[in-house]
Amino acid sequence: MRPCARRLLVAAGAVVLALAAAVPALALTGDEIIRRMERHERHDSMQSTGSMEITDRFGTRTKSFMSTALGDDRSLLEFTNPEEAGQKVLRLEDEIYLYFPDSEDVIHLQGAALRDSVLGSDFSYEDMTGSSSRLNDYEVVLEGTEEIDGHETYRLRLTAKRRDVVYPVQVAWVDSERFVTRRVELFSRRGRALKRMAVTEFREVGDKVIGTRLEMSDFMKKESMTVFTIDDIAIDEPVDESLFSLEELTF
Amino acid sequence: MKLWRIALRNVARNKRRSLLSGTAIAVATLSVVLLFSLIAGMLGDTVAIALTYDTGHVQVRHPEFGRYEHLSPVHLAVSDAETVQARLEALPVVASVLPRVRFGGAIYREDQNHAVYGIGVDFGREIAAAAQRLPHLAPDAGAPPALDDFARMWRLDLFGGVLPDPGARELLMSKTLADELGVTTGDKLTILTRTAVMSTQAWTFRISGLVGFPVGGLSRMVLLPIGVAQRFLQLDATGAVTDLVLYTARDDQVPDLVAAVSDAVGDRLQVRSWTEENAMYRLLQLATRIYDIISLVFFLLATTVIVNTTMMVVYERMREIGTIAALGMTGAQITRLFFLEALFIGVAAALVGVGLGIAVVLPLSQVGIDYTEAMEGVELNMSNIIYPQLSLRSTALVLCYSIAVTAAASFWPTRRAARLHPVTALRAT
Repeated sequence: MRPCARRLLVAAGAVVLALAAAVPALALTGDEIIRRMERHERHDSMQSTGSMEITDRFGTRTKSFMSTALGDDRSLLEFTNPEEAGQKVLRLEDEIYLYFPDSEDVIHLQGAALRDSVLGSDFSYEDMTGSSSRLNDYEVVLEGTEEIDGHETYRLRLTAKRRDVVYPVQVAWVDSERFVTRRVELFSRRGRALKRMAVTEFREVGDKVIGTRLEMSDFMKKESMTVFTIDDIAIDEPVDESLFSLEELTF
Repeated sequence: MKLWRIALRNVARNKRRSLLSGTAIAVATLSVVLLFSLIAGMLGDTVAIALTYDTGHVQVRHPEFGRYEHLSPVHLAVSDAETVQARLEALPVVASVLPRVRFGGAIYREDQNHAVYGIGVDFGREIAAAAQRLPHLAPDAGAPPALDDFARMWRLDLFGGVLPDPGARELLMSKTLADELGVTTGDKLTILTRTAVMSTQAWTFRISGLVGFPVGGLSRMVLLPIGVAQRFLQLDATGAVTDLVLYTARDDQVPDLVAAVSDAVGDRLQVRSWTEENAMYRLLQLATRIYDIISLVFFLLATTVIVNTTMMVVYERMREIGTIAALGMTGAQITRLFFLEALFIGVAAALVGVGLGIAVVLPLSQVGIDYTEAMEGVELNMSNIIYPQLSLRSTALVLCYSIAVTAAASFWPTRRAARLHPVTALRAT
């Protein structure tokens, strides 16, 4: 074989190998990517402590919290910073209860009220406490790959299957290597940008990779951003189920 | 025979024509009197609202509070308000100083989020300050603050209850809001708000009484003791309030009050007079200019009727003009004759128009014009019931104006009558 022909053969072989390597990645469907991503994001239980640094036109303030979640539909958030010490947010399925130490009533939120801001931050009660699978609520389409902050990602478009889903459209960028969310943009049904969340730090906990620093911007608020940081986290460890009750909330 | 007698006789002789001209003038005059009275009533209402619920004569605030008022920025407050208040009370031009705390919040009830606006007030001080401005409504000297006194001074309708206990978590609630929430006197509810340290706070309050605000824009209002409001909003540590509302003895002293207060507080606080702060008042002042022009249009329309009927008179009475000219009446006398005819009609009609206007406005100034249905859902700083106010000055002006316009309008056709040659006039058919 002449050297020129041999070189051509080698080059062709390299192209074939490269394509072969790329095929598994491209062969993934949007649903499969979401499933792999949610393996890191959804847990049987989770306990964490952390803080929210809220920046708006009036300055920056920090709120600290303890959080406990059981499955997809039960979670309890308790604020520990001095200004809001003892205030709790309990989620039971699709209903949220707010407990304030100085109030005689527990405030019950449901429906549109779940979109209200938590402590004036860029996170809503739904953002903070909801964790059901996106595959239940959205049709997922893989739109391609993009590089985000130096990482190769899948760009996914999630379109709500029902009208009662809080964010009708989401565009998510999922790390193609670790299958963790790098960025999410949330849109209204008419395509108006509502919020953007970027995950800037991760931590390995067991065989899962958890986003521990999230930056959320609510475009409905001017000059506003909230940095959500998880300091400590424990996953899939036993949790007292009695925590998730109205009696316990006010105890 | 004197010209004015002939003119009067002619007016009486052509009753239908005189009535037509007169009606146009009278209707125009009546309309303008009503319009001006209504505008005066709206202006008076705006002033009363600004002085009672809003700014007083002068309002002292944190310089940034107004810019972010829609966000309820209670952290932008006047710190150490008692010291500032004492300094301002010492100024000779100051009649009274009222500290107030304004805030916004939400009430979650039956799974609905209801917006609520609150003012923390010192009920005793509010009654005393209002009594200085409205002595005829003042309660007996030395009487303890009572809800009916407060309601009278604040122009509120009373639906039962008592004033909140100064130290208790109690509030007065707008009847409209209470109906929306399905609560009444004695019930409890929880208000969620953002405090001066930018934290979220929720307190449960007992409704001590229900009141009706005359202004649609205040229909979501609750009033609570200022000390309670300060603790609720975490303003108590710095003794801060969001507003200091100042009054002077007379409205015309407001510029002096602004100057004296500005000197006293310097640049660290914003001092604004109620006319600067009150967009509605400025709007109505602009509207008054516009209504002046509209009045002019009314009179111009009436003028065309006067010109028309006077012209008709001249043409119909050609033979008469020719006869009196042939008998020796000069052109100037003929001009005067027709001018006097028009003037008599104008004066009589203007008097009738003004008289009718007064007759309509006087009872309306007592019972008012109820805009409640029209204002439903409209959150304007204007009362649902407007009481037209008759102004002697503007009514006299309207009277003079309508007579002057009538006289001026008749001048051109009467000049034409005077220029007619007796022979030409007699030949006219």
